[in-house]
Amino acid sequence: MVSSDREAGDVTVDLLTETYRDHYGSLLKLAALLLDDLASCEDVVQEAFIRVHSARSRVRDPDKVLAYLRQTVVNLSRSTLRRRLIGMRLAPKPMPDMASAEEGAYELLEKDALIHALRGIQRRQREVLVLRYFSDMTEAQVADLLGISIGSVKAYGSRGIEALRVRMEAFR
Amino acid sequence: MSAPHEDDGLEEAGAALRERFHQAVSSLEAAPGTLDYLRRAVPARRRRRNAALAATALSVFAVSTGATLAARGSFDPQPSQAGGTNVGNLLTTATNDAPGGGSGHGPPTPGGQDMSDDGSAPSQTSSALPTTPGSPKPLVLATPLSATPAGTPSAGVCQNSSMSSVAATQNGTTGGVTYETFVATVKTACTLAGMPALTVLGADGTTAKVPIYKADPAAAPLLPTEPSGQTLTLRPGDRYEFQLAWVPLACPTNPTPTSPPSSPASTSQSPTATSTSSGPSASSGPTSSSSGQPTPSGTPSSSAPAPTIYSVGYSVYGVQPAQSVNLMAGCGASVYVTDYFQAPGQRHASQPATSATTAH
Repeated sequence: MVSSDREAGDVTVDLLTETYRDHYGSLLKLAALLLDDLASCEDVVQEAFIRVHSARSRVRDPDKVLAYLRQTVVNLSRSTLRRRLIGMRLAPKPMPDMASAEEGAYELLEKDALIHALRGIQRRQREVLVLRYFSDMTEAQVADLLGISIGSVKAYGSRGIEALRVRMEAFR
Repeated sequence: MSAPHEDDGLEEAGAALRERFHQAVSSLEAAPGTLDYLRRAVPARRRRRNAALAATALSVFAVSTGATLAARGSFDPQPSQAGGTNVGNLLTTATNDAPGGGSGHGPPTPGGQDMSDDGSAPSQTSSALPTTPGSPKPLVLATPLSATPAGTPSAGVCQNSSMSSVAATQNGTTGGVTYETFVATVKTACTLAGMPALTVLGADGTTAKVPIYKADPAAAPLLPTEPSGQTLTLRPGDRYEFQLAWVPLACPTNPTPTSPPSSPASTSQSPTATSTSSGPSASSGPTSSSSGQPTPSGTPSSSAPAPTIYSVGYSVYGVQPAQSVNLMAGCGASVYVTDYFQAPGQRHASQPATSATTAH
């Protein structure tokens, strides 16, 4: 019994390591594109990893771990944005005590005009564009993940690209 | 016609967007130590979640068990003889105007004291109360109510729900004394011991100050002599019964100089036709002694106040009466009640109470 638990734990650790090596970077970038506060990206992705892997027994299909992780990242990003919106209304955001290891990369990201333009469009349009063109998901996959129809995905995508184009031109 | 051009434009824009997206976040990498953190955090989160689940399950179990035990304890009709509060008596009002009062469950205390005051009341009752020969003894149960029926570990104490029917039959009124027989049919196997739990309510629905005495053959043989002090082990379909006598008291303004104080009813005043041979006798009925024992009166006087309707309720378990009868008295009354006994023809399951006591 103990050995089986240990085996299960080892398997979990191996799967965690494997998933981390394969997908952590892409999920971190996904979060960076979805969130308007890049400092929260690490927290969101780590929380997604913890949630999905601590409930591995409920994941029926091991091949869908990435799908679960993506879904969790999107949901947590939404929650973070919503929470931050409320927090901004109530209190000023405190300054971080120390610089993050990724601060340099984030600074580069902050300077990107596309990122600025992306943060200016609707949240649903941004999610569709990021999932469709960054994560290379099909329209059906995006529709399934976001819980909307394929037609809505197409509409959000085309309108999002148009809105993005307008904003990019405005930056120039 | 313009759709292909739009699609082409969208694809071009999508391709450019894809490239720009990857280019924008290409410099992002995981912070060092993230994997170690995740390796620690995942099992910790799992442990916390399991602990929370276990705590929740434990809490639900504890609450449900506690509620069940509390509910059972609150309505336990068999209080402990060794001490503690007598919940049964707390559920009813003890009588203050008659010694040995206390309707309902449990042994009474002299002067109708609250049982919760003194846990040793059962042992003091018989010695503290002055009894005279022929006077009714206070409610002293032949069977210790805390005794567990011997040899019947699986049969629980009878409840109201254990009964398929509880019927009350009036056996007639003789000399002002009304006799009632309660017969109950058991639905599920259970045990009974001691005296039935009676509650006397007045016309206004509140507990009336009516003392309840045990029908001791030596002191108050108002009822047919039945084997008492037995623990009944009842099976489905069995019937048991008990009898009570409703003895209206004489009004204070109505002196009864001619009637002997110790003869509530003459020997000819048998309670029922079937109990003539063992009916009440003149020498052993309740008396109006100086101790304040109630005196049954033959007929109410013409100057007595208008009779009041009392409701005598019988509850197998708890306070909710399973059956009740309406009886009348002008100036109060006393109730004499037998122990439980098997209905005629069903004597097979009763056990002596002593065996139950020693087995406990």
